[in-house]
Amino acid sequence: MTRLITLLSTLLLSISAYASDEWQQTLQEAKGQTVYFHAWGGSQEINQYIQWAGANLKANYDVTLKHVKVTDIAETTARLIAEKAAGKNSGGSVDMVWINGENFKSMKDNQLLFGPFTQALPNWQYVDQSLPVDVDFSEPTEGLEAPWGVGQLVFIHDKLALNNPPRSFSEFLSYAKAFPNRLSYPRPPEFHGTSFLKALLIELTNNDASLMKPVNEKSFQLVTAPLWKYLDEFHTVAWRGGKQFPSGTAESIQLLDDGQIDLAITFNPNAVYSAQANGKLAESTQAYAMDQGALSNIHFLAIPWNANATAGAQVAINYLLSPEAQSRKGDTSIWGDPSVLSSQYLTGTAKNTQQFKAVAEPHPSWQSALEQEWLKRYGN
Amino acid sequence: MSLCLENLTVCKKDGEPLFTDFSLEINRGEIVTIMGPSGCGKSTLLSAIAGHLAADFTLTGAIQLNNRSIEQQPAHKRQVGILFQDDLLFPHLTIAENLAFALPESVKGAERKQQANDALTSISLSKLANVFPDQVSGGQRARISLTRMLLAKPQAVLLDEPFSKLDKTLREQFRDWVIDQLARENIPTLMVTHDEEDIPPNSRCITWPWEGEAC
Amino acid sequence: MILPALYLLIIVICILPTIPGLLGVGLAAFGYIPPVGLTTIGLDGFTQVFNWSGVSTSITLTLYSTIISSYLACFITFMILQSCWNKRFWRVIETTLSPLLAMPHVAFAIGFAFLFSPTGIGARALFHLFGYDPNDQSVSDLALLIKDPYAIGLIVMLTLKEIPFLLLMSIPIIQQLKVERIEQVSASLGYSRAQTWWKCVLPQWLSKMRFPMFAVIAYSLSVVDVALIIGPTNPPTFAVLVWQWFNDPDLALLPRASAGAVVLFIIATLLIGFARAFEWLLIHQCRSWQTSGRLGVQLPGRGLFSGLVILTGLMIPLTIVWSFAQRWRFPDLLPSQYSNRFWQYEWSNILSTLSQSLSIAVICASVALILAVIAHEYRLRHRWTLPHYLIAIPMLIPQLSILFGIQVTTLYINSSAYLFWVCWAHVFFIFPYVYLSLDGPWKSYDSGLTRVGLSLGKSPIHVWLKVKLPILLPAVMFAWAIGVSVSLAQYLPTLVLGAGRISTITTEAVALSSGFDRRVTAIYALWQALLPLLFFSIAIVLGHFHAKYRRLSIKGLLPNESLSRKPHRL
Repeated sequence: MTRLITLLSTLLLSISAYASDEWQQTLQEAKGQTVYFHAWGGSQEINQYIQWAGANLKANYDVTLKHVKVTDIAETTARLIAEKAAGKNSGGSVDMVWINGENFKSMKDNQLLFGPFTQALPNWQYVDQSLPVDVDFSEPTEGLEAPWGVGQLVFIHDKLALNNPPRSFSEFLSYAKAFPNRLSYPRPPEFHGTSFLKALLIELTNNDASLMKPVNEKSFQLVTAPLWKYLDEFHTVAWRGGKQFPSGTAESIQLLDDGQIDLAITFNPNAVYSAQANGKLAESTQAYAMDQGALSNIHFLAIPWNANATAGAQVAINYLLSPEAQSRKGDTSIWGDPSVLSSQYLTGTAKNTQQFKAVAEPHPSWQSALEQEWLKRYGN
Repeated sequence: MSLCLENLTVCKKDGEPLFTDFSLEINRGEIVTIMGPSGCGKSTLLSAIAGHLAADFTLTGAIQLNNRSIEQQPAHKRQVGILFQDDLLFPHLTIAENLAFALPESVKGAERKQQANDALTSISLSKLANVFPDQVSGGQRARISLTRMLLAKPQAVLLDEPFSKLDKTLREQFRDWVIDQLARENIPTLMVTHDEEDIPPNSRCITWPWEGEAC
Repeated sequence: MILPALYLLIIVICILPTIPGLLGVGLAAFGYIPPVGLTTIGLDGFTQVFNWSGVSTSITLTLYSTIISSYLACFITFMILQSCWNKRFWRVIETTLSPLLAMPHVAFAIGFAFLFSPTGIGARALFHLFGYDPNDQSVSDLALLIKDPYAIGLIVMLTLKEIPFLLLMSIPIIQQLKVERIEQVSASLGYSRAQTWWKCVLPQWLSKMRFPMFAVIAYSLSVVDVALIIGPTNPPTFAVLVWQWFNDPDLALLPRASAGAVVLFIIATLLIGFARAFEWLLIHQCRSWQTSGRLGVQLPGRGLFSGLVILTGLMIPLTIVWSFAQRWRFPDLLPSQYSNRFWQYEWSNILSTLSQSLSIAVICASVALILAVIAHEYRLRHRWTLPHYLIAIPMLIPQLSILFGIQVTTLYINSSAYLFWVCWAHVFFIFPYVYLSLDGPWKSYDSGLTRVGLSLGKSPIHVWLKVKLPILLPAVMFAWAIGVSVSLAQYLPTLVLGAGRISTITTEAVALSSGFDRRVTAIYALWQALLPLLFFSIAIVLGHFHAKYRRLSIKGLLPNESLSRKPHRL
C-alpha cells in the first residue's frame, strides 16, 4: 500500500514538476514578445487598468502588452475568420482577446482558438471553482478560455434625484409613463443594449425554458412578442421619444450625471465607485439590481489559434489571474470588476465586492436574433 | 576665338521650318547684330545656340565655337554666355553672391569672395555688395547682370534685346558700356534687337527673317 | 533618363493602385471574394444594401448634408471675399487662415461637440443667461446639433471647416482675375463694388472654383470620422453605414458592404456631375441675370469670418479646461474640482501614440514631397504628363470605396508588414495635396533663372540646388507641412490597413470620443490640433530663415504667392 502511495505521489510530483518545467519554458519563450490584446476600449477605467497590467508585465516578465481598443470584439472575430479563410495559420495579428458569450461560441465553432491552456496556468489554482467558470452562456469552455471577471447587469441612480428607483421592468415602464423623457437603454447591437433586451425578455416571459436552448425561428416571434409590445409602448415615453439612444454604458453614465436621464446601466456592479473616484458621477449615486436578479455572466480571456505570441499571451493571462492583479482589478477606486478568485486570496476592497442575485444568461444564439429583430423594427 | 554657325535649320515638331540654312561666322571681338520684328524666330536662334531649345523644336546643322563642336553639348558645357531683357539676378542672393555664383569652379573659397568684390569695384558698385537685387535700381541691375555673365569667362556672348527694358538715356549709356566691355573681352558676340540705334558702329548687321541680306 | 523612370514609379505608387482598389471593391460587390470563400457572382450584395431598413433615410441624409454644407460654405466664402478682399480686414484674414486650416477635422469636431452638445458649454451659458434647461425637454425634443437625426450639426460643422479651405483656394483665383481692374472698369460704368462682385466676379470665380468644390463635395460625402463624432446615429450617414457593414463579423455579408461602397462611389460621381450641371446652369445657361442691371447687396462677410474665428478660438481654452476637470457637472460654467491625473495617466500612452503618428507622418510627407517635386520637374521637361484630374483622383473618390479593394489585395499578398502598408496608403492619399500645393509655385518660378544659371556654366543639379530650391523653399516646406497634417488626420487608411496594430492620434481620438470620458478625449484632441500647427510653424520658420531677403511679410505664409520682384528704387 505504501508503495502504491509512494508511486502515485512520485508520479504526481513528477507530473507537477514536468508541468512547472513546461511553464518555465513558456516563461522563457515569452521574454521579449509583444502581445496584441484586443479588448473593448469603451471605458477609461478598464483602459487604465490594462495599462497598469502592461507596465507590470514588462517589468516582471519582459512581455510587452499592447491594448488594441475595439468598439466590439466581433470586429476581431471577423478579422480572425478572414485570416483563417486566407490560410494564415501562424503569425496572426491578434494574440489575446477579451471575450464571452456569442463571440466565444462563434470562435469555438470556427476553430479559431488556441488551447486548451487554462489548466497549465500556475495561477489556475486560485480560481474560485464554485463560480460557473467552465460554462460560457451555457456553452462549455473546454479550457479554451480563462475566466477573468464577473459581470452583472445593474442600474445606477442618483439618490438625490431619484430615491425610489423601479425594481422591475414593469415598474420601469410605469415610471417612464409618469415621467416621460427620463429613461432609455443603449442602442443594440451594443452589448449593454442587447443585454437590457435579454433581461427584459427574461422578466416578461418569466424565464421561459426555451431561452436556454438554441433559438427556434418559429417560436422566436411567439416568445418575443411581449418584448416588442413592451418596447413599442416604452419608446413613446422614452428619452428622445425612442428616436435616439445612448451609444453604450459610458454615454448612459454621462447622461445620468448631466441630468438628462435617471438611470444608467452597466455590467460592472462596482462601476459607481470608480466613476465617483474619477469624477464622472456624484457621490450620491449608487447601483442596484432588479428584484428578479441581475443578468450575470463571466467574461473570459482567450488566445487565437494563429497567434504570433502564444507564450507571451499565456504569461499575460496567467498574470491577470494572479491575486495581485485581481485585487487591483477589483479595487473599487480602480475598476471594481468582481474577481474570479476565491476571496481568501484577494486584498483590499476587492475582497468585499458588491454581489447581487444572479440570473443566468440565455443561449448565445438569442443574442444575434434579438439584435437583428430590434434593428429591423427600430433601427431607422 | 570664333563662333561658326553652319547651315542651321530649326523646325517645329510638325516639320514647319522657322529658318533654314542659316550660316554665319563671327570673329573674335566682333559684334554681329540680327535685326527684325518680334515673333519670327530670333530668340529661338539664340536659344538654339545657347542650348535651351525647347523640346518642340528640332535643330539641324553645326555650331562650332573655337573649333569645338557644341551643338550636341548640354547648355552648361557650351561656355556660351547669354543676356536677356530681364536682368535675372537671383533674388535670394546678394549682389556679391550673385557675382560669386558665376565664378568658375577653379576659383575656391575666400578667393571667390575677393574676385566678386573686385568685379564690383571695377564697375564702381562696391557699395552694393551686400544688398539684394530688389533694392537696386534697374540700370545698376543691368550692369551687374552683364558683369556676372562675363565673370563666367564665356567664349561667346549672346544678347537677346538686352536694352529694351531700359529708358532712353539709360539705354545709350548702358549700350556704350556693354560694347566697351565686350571689346575688352575680345570674344564673338551675337546680338538680337529690333531697334536700329542698338547696332554698334561699323559692325555687321543681318536682317531677319533670314533671306541672305545684310541691313 | 532617370526622370521618366522615376515618373513611372510615381504613377505606380500614387495612381495605379486606384485600379485594384476599385476593381477589388467592384468584384466583391458582385459577390466574388475568393480569400474568404465567396465565389458566386450575383446581385445579392446590392439587394441587401437596398433592403436594409433605413438605407433610404441614410442616403437622403448624406445627399442633403453634402449639398447644403458645400454650397453654404461656397456662398459664405463668396460673402467674405466680396466684403473683405483688398480691405484692411483682409490682412487679418490672411494671418488667421493658416491656423484655421491647420486644425484637423476630428479635433474641430470634438471641440464643436464640447461647445454645442446638449450639456455643452453653449447650453450651460444659455442656462445661466436665460434659464433654458435641456433636462426639461419633452419626449419629442430631439438633439439639436450633436448626433441629431437631421444631421444639422454635421452640416454646420462641415460648413465651418470648409470655409477656410475654399478661401485659400480662392486667393490665387481672385489674383488671377485682376479684380482691381474689373472694379475700376465697372465703377466707370456705374457699378458699385458690391454690384461688381455679384454680377461680374461671381460668374468667373465660380467657374474657377470648380475643382475645389468637387473636392469639398467628395470629402463631405465620404467622411466617416467626423460623422462618427457628431453625425446622426439612427440611422447614420451612408458612409458611416457602409463602414459599419465592413466591420460586421458575419463575413458572408461582405458583398453588402462592398456594394455599399460602390453605391457610395456612384453617389459621389452623381453629385460631382450635379455640381458641374448646376454651375453650367447658373453661369452659362441662365445668363441673363449677369447683364440684367446694377443689382447687388453688400454682404456681411466680415462679421461671418470673425464669428468663425471666435468660435474656433473658443474651442481651444474649452478643451484645455476639460482636460484638467476632475468634476464638471452641468450646469456649472467652470469645473468644481481640478486635477492633472488625466494628463499623468495618459502621458505614457500618448507618448507612444504620438511617436507612432509623427514617424508615419514625417516619413510619408517626405516621400510624397520628393515624389511631387520629381513629378513637377518631369512636367516641365516632357510633353506627356498626367492631367491634374487623374492625379487628384484619391481626393475625389470616397476612401471607403478604394480601401477595401486594397485590403483584399494585401490579403492575397498575405503580409504582416502593417506599418509599410499604412505608410504606403498615407502616401497614396497625401500625394495629390502635396502635388497640387506645389503647382502654383512651380508655375510662377521664372525659368529664365535656371537658363541663366546653366549659361553661367553650372551643371543642372548645381543650378537646381543653388538657385531653384532656395527660391522655392518656403513653398516646398509649406507643402511638406500640408503633407504632414493630412497624414496625421488620416483615419480610415490607418484602421483598415493597420489591422488594429497601428494607432495614431486620430484613431485614438475618434475611438476615445465614444468612450465619453471628456477629459481624455480633450487631451487627445489638443494633441491632434497641436501637431499640425507645430509643423506649419516649423515650415514657416525654416522657409523664412533661408529666405532672409524677404521682409517679414505676412504674405509669406501663403503657399501660392508668386515670386514678386518689386524694385524699391529705380
